[in-house]
Amino acid sequence: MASQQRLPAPYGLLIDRGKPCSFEFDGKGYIGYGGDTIASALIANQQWLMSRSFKYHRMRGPLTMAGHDANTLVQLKSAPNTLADKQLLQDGMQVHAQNVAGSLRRDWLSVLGSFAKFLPVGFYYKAFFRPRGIWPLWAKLIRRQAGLGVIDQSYSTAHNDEEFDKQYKFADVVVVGGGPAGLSAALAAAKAEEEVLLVDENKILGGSFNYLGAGYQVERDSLVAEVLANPKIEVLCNTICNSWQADHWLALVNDTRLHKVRAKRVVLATGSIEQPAIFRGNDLPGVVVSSAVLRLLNLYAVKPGDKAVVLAGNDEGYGTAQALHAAGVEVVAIVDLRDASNQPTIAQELEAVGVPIFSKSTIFEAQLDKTAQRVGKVEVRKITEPGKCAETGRFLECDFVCVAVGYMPSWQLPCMAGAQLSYDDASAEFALSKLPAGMRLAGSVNGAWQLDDVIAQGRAAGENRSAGPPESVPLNHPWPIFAHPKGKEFVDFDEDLQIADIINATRDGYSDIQLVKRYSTCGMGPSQGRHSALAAARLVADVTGRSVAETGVTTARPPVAAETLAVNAGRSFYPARRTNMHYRHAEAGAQMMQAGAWYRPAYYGPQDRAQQCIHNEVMAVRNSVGLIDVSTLGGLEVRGPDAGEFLNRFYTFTFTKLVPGQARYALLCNEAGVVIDDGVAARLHEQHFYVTATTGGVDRVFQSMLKWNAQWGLDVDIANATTAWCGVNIAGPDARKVLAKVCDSLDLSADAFPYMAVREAKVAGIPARLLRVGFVGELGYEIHVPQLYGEALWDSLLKAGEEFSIKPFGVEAQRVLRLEKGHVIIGQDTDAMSNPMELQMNWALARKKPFFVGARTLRELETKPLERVLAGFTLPIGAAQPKESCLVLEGEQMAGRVTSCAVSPTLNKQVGLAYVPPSAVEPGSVITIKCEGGERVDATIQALPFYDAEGARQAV
Amino acid sequence: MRGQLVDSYPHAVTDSSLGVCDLNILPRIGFKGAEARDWLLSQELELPATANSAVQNGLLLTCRLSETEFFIAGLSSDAEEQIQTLHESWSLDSQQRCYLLERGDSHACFAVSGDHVSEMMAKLCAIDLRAKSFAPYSIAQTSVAKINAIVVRISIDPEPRFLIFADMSSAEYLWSCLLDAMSEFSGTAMAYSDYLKRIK
Amino acid sequence: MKLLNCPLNGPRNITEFSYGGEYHPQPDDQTTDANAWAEYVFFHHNKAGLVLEWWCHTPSSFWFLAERNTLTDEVINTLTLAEFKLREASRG
Repeated sequence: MASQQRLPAPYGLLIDRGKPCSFEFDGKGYIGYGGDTIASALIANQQWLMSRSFKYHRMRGPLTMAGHDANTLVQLKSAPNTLADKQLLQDGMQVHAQNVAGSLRRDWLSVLGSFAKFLPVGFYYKAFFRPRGIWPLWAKLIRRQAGLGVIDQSYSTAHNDEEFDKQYKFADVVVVGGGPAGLSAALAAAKAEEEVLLVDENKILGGSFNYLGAGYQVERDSLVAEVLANPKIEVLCNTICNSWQADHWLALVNDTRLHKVRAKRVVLATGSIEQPAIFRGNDLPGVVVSSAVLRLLNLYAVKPGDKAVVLAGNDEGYGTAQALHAAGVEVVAIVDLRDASNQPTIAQELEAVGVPIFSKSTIFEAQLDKTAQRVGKVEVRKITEPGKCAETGRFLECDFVCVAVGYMPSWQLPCMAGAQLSYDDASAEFALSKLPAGMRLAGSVNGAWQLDDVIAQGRAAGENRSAGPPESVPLNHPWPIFAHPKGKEFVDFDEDLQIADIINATRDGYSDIQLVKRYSTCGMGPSQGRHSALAAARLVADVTGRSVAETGVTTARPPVAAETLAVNAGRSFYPARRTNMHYRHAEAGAQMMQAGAWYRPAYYGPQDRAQQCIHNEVMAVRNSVGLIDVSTLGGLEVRGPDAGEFLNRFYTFTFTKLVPGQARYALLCNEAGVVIDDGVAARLHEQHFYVTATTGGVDRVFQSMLKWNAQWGLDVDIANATTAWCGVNIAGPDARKVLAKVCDSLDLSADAFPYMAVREAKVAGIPARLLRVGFVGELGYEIHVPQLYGEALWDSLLKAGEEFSIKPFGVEAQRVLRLEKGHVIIGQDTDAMSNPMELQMNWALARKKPFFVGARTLRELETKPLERVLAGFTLPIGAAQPKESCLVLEGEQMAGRVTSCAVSPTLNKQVGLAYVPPSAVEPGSVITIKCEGGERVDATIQALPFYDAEGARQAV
Repeated sequence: MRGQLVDSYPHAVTDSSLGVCDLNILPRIGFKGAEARDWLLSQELELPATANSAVQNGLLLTCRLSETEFFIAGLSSDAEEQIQTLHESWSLDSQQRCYLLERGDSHACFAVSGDHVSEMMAKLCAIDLRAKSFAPYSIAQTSVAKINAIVVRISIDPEPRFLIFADMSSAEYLWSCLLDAMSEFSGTAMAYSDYLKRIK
Repeated sequence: MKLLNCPLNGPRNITEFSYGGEYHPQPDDQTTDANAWAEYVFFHHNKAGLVLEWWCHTPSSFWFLAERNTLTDEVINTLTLAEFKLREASRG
């Protein structure tokens, strides 16, 4: 087992040296400490190689040590694609490399790198088209190669007791980021009596304070302690703000919980993302950014190696060189991209301890040490002009490279909120502007780098005011990009894109940065552009003759960081509505189906005998008596002096002339003359109508009624009483006989209680409203009782009907029964354009009414010829059965479609409804229907209804 | 949900721990219309002055859902008679623009009370129901577990309590959502007898 | 998740509301010509600027009007129908 190289305290803020952790990586055992991440423990053991890149399977190691790059993605038993530089180490952990062919150390697919010129940018687009027919081959290959980690399904199943949950939260101000800026902002806001929620993605507060070095510890500890002691500040660590949405709605993800937070205002103190330099071999294990070096030293007490070369495009590089020297690392050289440092004193101090400084120079190439599987030497060359070097250089041996060339602000959340990211080509400085009201930035994300400025900005943001402009600290080198004749200067590490790939994308015609992204896949990997956006924008700008500001970066979208699907799936709501008779259906063996949120019985019986059960139910209704639960049907109470007038205007039929005790079919159109709902309106009283509507439509109808009356101002009250009433439809030739047994106070004779009448009486002792309706085409009564009595009514009717062999019937049987009568179902036989004329329902339009919704439009439509008509058709049993939406064809042209079709046990043939051209609507016409699978059948048009044409059975 | 109050559960709910009680069988009634306010005043009920607030008239909780809509819930089974009286006093023929709603049939009623009740509700409802933001006798007509509901705060001290009214057809669904949300805080179902002890 | 200020219920998440279309007073259906009627039924003004719209707070079935700036998506004002009618009346 390799031994660790650890620096003594006070290095190692996060580790607990008293808690050694043993773990396995790629089959080899290591020891780390509690508080380590997997990556810090591996590097402590000088194991830099952690993964293989997506396309070329190149060796990769950490770049940022902050979870900002995807080089550290490793496989855990519990999860694939785990960031090794964020995942805390646990004793006994087993970690594996991902995306390797063979082994991590000897990945045979790394040979792909040699074939780079055959895998040009846009490779996917180009490969799929030519030669024709090659796609299935590529699909198989790509499917095997694509993806990184693997989901262990047996692990997931065994551990599914992990509770993912969601919760709402509220705060006056949410501060995102617990570094010096965020801590200051939180304290200032709390002082102003605001309720503060402070979030940080790390385990502890402090942010950059934590890794800048021991010199900042006292100030850090004091601020953190003040925050933790403040009762008005709630702190959530291990929490990342993954999106900003309108009116300061934030998604905060904390391990297994998603907090949906409404803030009155937000302060983003989210810091900056350090950028790599672009040179050949810049992706080798051991090439890291300067803040990664500081993290390793100060958070984890890890020496990144023994011999460092520092590539400095700013003075921070010099500071890190000093820190390395102080930690006992040999700084082999500082390679300064600029003519000179801005802090000559520090430069002199470093030279005095033997650190050579190469000015106006760059690393032209980093080369691999094949044994150590990390960088082994670099070639340093003089810069002749931006992006170009001298013909020769010198080689320096090293075992890691520290890159300090600049930062990009964490632009994602502000840009999601509509802010604009601008960049000044001359100074290479970023600025975020056009923030929405209530959003403030503080810290390096807002251009503040000196600690005083950072804290001042934090305080100002916390007090909800602007701070003055910060001192400008030149950190961004404008062009740390050096093309190499042999390439492999990586712009996007996730997607293995080199300089030539970006430039060639523009040469292929894709010059808009959005197109470059999609064509080349630059920025589409796990790091989502954190390290490629700036370099890509610079390259594209340069080659297309625009400024970087004009070129821009691609749209920022949530989530900011990867989140598990479980976080979004945890605690989902599936509203379920049940009628009062629900358990009776379950006890009777019903197969339940969903109609919106309602559960209704589709049929009663086992699934493997579905058709038979449905047919038996149909025949029971036709021959004796059946009972169906219609509680889900909408029920609206329309009451008041203008109740009749209201219904007159709302529906197509006339209702003002209905006498109490009468009911009428109610057809509803919208202003475009389209049929949108139907039901029955029963007049119980001069000022009281009880109106039914479809199960799925009643809520919309109710809302629509309220909206119309808000405009008409009629003296009417409308209430949605759907749930207050339970209802059944008892239908069949024996229905009256059954009802008579439980309803003795009502004269049920045909004269006293005719078809389409409504009565109020007690049924089985329960106060009820009875409507004689004919949806299924038999003698039938809809009996509505107060909801609490539903089950009792059901039981009484079944008992009373025993001697008549009463059968409960479900939705499927009802659909067949109504189809035999040619009755339409709104939404199935009608679509978003169906008007009453197409449905042959002109009879439902009251011509003499001055107004109803849709009347004017219908008058116009009636002057035009019909384009289609809903007609009935039949087919013999045994012919292929068309399904809903099967096309009606005239030759090879679409001429219509089937809307309903079923086998009719009553008539012993198939019956259906279809939209057909008006020329084909005559009974006896033949239409051709193309069934599923392509078979065509000829069906015969028949006048509706198919069954009981006189309507005698329902009116008896 | 079959019309009787559950009198005991295997686990007794201690003094202040989180619990939910099924109050579906308690009486409820609604009135709405341009003259609903006048009619209810004529029945000698005290009414809330503003929408989305409630007053307690003895055993009756009178909620004002809008300028013209009122929801009256009995707080215990002893309120049956009073609700019945209101029911019988109303008729459609009275020429008054006040219309009755059978809230006992259309709406379910649950009481949730005890420690962490606001945190539990924050898993189901996007309204800020914390004590500082939602005072006693405040009403929120909103969405709870994705269904329409009326949430009324009854008290903060000595115990935080809400009544939740929602569509009766979703009662079983809402009950299961409430139990699930409270499991994190060791909340459980509460028998009516325990509930009565708590409201005394 | 936008907030909309319901005149009855106060500020609520937009998911508690359903949109009811632009507010268009209905022209006289007896005298308006066919083209004008078709425009009324099918066209939205879709102005770049202030539009008046119908919104319904679903849990309370409360309809009201909102004045929204379609360029900035800012809701300037929400009104009950009574308030709107008063305003129209006072404007003459």
